[in-house]
Amino acid sequence: MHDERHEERCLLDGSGIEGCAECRAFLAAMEAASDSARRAALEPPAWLDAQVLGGRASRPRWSWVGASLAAACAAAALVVIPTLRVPPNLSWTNGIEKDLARMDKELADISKQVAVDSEAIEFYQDLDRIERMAQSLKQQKL
Amino acid sequence: MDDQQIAAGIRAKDAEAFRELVERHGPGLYSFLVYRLGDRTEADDAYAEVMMKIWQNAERYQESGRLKAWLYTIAHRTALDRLRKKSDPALTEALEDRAISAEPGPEREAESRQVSQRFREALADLPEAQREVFLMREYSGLSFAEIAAALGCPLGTALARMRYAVLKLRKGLEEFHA
Repeated sequence: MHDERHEERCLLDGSGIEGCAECRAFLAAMEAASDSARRAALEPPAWLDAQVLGGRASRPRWSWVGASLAAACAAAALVVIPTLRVPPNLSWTNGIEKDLARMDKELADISKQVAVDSEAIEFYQDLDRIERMAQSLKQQKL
Repeated sequence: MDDQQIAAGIRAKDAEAFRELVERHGPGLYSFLVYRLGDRTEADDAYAEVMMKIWQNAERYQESGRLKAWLYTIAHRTALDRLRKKSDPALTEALEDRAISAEPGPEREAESRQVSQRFREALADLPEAQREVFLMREYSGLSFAEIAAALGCPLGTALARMRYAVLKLRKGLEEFHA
């Protein structure tokens, strides 16, 4: 006697009860439905797949381009913006700014020289110390 | 490249593996979404969304399961979300032939169009749950156990829905196949 379990068996393993006409009819119905589904199958439009793939594949590339552009803009800004700065109008200062600038430069030179001299002094002090130690060692040896 | 290699590839954000996935599984997923949502434009958006989710969540895919089952679980949930958000009874109850047949392929012949038309009408008459199982079975090729897992229902329920779907489609299609 054909029942729904037979049809479920048809669905599960593609074969009904042997000799059962209703199973055969159900299997035929399955085949017809599958055949119709295959014929009605659709393909995504090319533009949609291109969009999907472009979104995935190109995204890293575009991010690199964006990052590169941002870095280039930042570098250009660093170079260009200082040159665009308008120098302050110092005509009211009666030339004193030039004296101040010269004094600043002289102070900077002096600072450098002091640094060099202090290094030299320390060097000679160390050399003296070493020589004294060498002499004392010689005396101890004698 | 088999499905496991594709899965490993997209986990490593390999664009070539993703291209392979789109070529291999795209048509099935797209057909599922078009007939599930009943609206071509909505299906286009859903398809792009599904592909995006696949790419972004590839690391969540468990190697123990079939890739295809994971893909269709995502497609099923995406379609369900869209149907719920729309809450448009017309969208869930009927497949609009106008929308679906808007872009017939250039290779479509008259007979194919006629079969497709008849099939769509018969499909539109199916209750949503039966249509869902039928579409997943036909376009994914998953086993009923996998379909039941994807839909979150018992195996017996999935089988019963498919059985009713086949019987109703037989009635709808018998005129053409007679």
